[in-house]
Amino acid sequence: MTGTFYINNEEKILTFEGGDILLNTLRKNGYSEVKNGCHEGECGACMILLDGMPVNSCKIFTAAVIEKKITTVGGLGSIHEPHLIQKAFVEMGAVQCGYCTPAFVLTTHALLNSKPLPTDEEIKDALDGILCRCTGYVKIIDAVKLAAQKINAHE
Amino acid sequence: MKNISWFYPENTKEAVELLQSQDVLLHGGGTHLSGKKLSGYHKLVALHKLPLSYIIQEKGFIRIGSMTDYHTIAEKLKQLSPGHILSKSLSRAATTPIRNRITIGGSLYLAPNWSDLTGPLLALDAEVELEGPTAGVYSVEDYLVNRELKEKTLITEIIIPDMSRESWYYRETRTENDQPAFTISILVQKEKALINDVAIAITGHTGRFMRAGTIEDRLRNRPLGQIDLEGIANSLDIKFAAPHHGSSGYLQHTLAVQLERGLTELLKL
Amino acid sequence: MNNYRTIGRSVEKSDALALATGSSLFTDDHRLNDCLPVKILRSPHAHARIINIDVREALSMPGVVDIITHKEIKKKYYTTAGQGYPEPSPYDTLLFDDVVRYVGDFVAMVAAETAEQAEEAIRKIKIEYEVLSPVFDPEKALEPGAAVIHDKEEFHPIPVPYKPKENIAAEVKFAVGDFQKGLEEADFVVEETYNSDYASHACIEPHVAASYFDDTGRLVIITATQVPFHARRIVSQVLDYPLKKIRVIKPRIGGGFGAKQEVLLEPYVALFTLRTKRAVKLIYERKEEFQSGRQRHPMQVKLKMGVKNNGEITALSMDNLMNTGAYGSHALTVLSNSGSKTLPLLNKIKNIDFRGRSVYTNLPVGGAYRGYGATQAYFAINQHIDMICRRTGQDMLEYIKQWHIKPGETSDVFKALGEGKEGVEQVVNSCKLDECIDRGAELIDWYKKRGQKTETRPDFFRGVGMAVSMQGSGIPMIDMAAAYMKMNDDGSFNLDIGATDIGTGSDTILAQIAAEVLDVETENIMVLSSDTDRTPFDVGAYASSTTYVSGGAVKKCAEKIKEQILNVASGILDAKPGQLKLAAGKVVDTKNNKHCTLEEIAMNSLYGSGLTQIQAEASHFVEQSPPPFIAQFAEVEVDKKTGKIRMVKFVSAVDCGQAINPKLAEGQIEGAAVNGITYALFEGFHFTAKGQMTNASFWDYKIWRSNDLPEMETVIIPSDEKSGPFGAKSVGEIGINCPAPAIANAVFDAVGVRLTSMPFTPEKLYKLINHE
Repeated sequence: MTGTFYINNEEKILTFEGGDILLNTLRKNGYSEVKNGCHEGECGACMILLDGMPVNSCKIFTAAVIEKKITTVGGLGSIHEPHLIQKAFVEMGAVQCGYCTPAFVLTTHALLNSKPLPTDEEIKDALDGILCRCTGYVKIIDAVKLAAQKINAHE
Repeated sequence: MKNISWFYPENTKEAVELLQSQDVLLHGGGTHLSGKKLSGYHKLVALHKLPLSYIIQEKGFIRIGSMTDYHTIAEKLKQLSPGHILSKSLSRAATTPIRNRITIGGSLYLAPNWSDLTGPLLALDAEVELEGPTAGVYSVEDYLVNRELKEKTLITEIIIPDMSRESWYYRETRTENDQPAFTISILVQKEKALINDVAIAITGHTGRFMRAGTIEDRLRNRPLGQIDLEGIANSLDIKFAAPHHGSSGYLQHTLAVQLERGLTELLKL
Repeated sequence: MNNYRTIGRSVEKSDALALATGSSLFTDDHRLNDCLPVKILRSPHAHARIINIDVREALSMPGVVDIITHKEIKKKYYTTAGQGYPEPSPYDTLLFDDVVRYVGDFVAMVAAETAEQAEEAIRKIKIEYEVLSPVFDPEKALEPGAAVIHDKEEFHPIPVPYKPKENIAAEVKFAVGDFQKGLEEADFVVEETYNSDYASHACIEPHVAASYFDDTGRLVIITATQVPFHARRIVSQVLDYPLKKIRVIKPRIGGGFGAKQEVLLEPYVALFTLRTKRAVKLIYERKEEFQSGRQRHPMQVKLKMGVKNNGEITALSMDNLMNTGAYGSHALTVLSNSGSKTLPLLNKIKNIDFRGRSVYTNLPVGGAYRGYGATQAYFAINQHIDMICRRTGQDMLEYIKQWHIKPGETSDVFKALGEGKEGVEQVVNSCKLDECIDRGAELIDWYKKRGQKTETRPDFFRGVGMAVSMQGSGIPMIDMAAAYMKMNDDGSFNLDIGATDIGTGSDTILAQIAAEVLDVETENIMVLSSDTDRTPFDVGAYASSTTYVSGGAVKKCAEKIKEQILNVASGILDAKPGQLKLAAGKVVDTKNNKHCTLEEIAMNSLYGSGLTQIQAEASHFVEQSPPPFIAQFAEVEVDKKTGKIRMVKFVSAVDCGQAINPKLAEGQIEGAAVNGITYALFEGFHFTAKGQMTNASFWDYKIWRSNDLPEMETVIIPSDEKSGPFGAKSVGEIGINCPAPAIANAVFDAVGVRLTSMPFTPEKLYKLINHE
């Protein structure tokens, strides 16, 4: 099959099989920032934003999201021009092994879009789709708060 | 997995027609189907182009399109009907990214034992609208027990009576987002010291789901002061097969404890 | 206070931005041309002999390139434990054997053009098994007549007790003083048996390795490893392939915690590449990670203490029975550490009897896991201390302060117990455990909450508990690390180290150490690590060694560079090196304040009168393993009617010497604490009666998510460890030791029952509360 996708604000025509999973399609096409951790919709390392909403790309058929808008962490910022959320994660020491970090950054982005100044509880609930074994989440939660401050100060 | 053909119907008629051939599966959010070996099925019918993602409050009912995702339902219901049991249950089902994909139709069709949907719908006396060979409106309970209703049919809408009742929802889990070993849904309507109406649904046990009719009868139209909650809660005889959560005997005990707590809270005894 | 430029400052982790923007490459992110995925056929039986295996049909399947079974390989015993040579683990493993020893053991591997084709081919391999009787219970495995799990040519590379015919993978015994005599002096005896379960590291990145021949015909292995140099050596050894032709590269890796201190996948991908000349990649699925990765060893700890009425412990015996599973990876050393990393903490005990046995069973394989045996033993020791204090009426905090090891003191255990040999005598230089206890007590509000059994609502009771532990910093007289540095034109430096950053931030803190010596900003130190061709040797990331051991190598190396810089500068400034000092990127003549910049020095050395590369190397080993110390406190709420435990608050106060980078050090403790809490509460493996794991997925094996988190507080209590780089000790492992005992002690405080078996499932506690 082929389909058009809007990935990180670029129109992309991708070729894939009917049974292909979005995670694999994205990785095959160079979006290696989308990680594979469990293939069972539990760890969340494969997070992307689908029309702005965080979803597990391992639980989505590629064919089911043709014409949709997909955002990977690479679409938020690059190492040359990082997003404020990415900077906040770095500054707060929220990145250890970093395997889950793209997923947390994307989810934070979706959260702060709908709730610019989230409470601790709202942060903890919003991030519940991603497993992290390194940080104990403490510094990640701090990083989300810092990101909210940074974005609000910036606007 | 390789040779799967996809169809993207734009209206329900087209979808139902596609569904009548042999090796077809409907695709709602896809969280259940993806990554599985779909042996025997070669056609997937994607339903996202159907106009079935909506929540409408009208004429004493809340109508939810079958393609509406959990997240949207939980959020919308919070506004339409604060404290609604379905909002409480669906906002805690699975995880945030999974809730963004699970559709209420797909979820009702599958009705897994850990579902956070089945119990509240049963307690709410919800109905389901089907298209296909057995088109019509059925009670959710009928739909769940009657296999024929599931064959070759498409769920288009879930219909919930829009009544103001106090609600309590409990999910027995090891962590916040764990799939529950069982769920308890309770709805109560009280007038002064009298229970006018009560609905209790329990899911997750070996019988999958039930309305606790005998308990409801023991509570209904009773003055609050005359209720033996502990006795009522312990009268349930339900078995469990959820070894990761605990033995059947333990879960049975826990169910009684939580049921009593739920009723206590709602009845403010 | 020390006036450091970069030590003690939370400089940004050097790889964090690349990770947060997704540009970092993990093993699976490397795109290799024509790469063959590999899939594994695993044993469905816990114990069986392969009578016949027929791969003919599978080989003829489309896309299949190669299949390996036990028939294709030379029988060469080795250990997957990524330890120094010779490893203190039995050589009991073959790449493929004709006996399978646990459900999930290797039977065959297929390399095909696509993963789907490899999976198809797996299904076409025909195997005839003779099912053998399995043994799952370590105590039963020791009984005469039990099935023998290893009965061929397995052997131990070092002279230690190894009795495979009795299913004993390792045995450790030592005694100090006279236990019986000590027991007679006691007024009362406290005796209990404690049990801990299997646990998965649950690294979010599964085990993964890839290999290929580079343009010069050398074999390159990219792998998620904590031990690249051991991986190179073991691959060479197992495959009989020249070490000089192998290059191992560790890219970014997605968590280790000990799981990847294991040479698990590397020999297989290498073997396929040697056979097919193709690039090959092998990634574990999550189920394989649980069932066939490496796990925390379950351990039964029988602890007996003779105690005087004043609380003095006159005698201690510890009898540890460890389940190493089907293979003996780390079977000896985890066992040794359950004594050597715990008993010195209570160094006033003069009469000690220690016995440990590691036992083979037909269950998943144990391995290194953060805490490394100490975790299992501290679970016992800290509950014993709580029991003693309750018996004598002493405050647990004051009791520990009285009896724990102090600076200037030693323990007979240090010398008695090492890793497969005698230990190393050492005196504790730094210990701020008292301050850790005081600060932690303040944060948890110990004296207000202890013993209150507060009922917050009907049936819900609160309690507080605590526990203390020490760990080590590297393995003395065994661990070695090396560093190389050179100076560039602009006065920046390359630092090449064998040390392995597994997400801990060691690249960053090692750069901080170099930067401090050279008095430059950390960003002027560019780190290249963990490439066996390009970086000098390092044992790898384990045993809490990197900061202390590798940090020592980096410091030495940077000091040599500093000396050379001063020498070149003395020519430029026409001054004696002795009167020169490095200051903020310059060299200053202290006599007249004349100065030159590092850039001037570099240019002079490379192009001017110097014509020499400023460069240095250093290697470092350690003669001691200074312990970090920790006090951890838990506040819990117990639902007495259901046995459910809710964590209310968790506090950690740690003495890790000088924290090189406080935020990263806190991160180590926070991550370890949460891991330790969920290990205590509900992690654990469930099996069928036939040894098949039934919760081998994140769906069934739960770990915490963000919304499960209680209030968490972590404080670092600085101390100055004279033997460490800038006063540093280790911090990587220690945070996982105390959550389980602290929670168990808190539960006792709340409801008066003692949890001696992990995990603390609600049903278990409910039964205890109801005396079932």
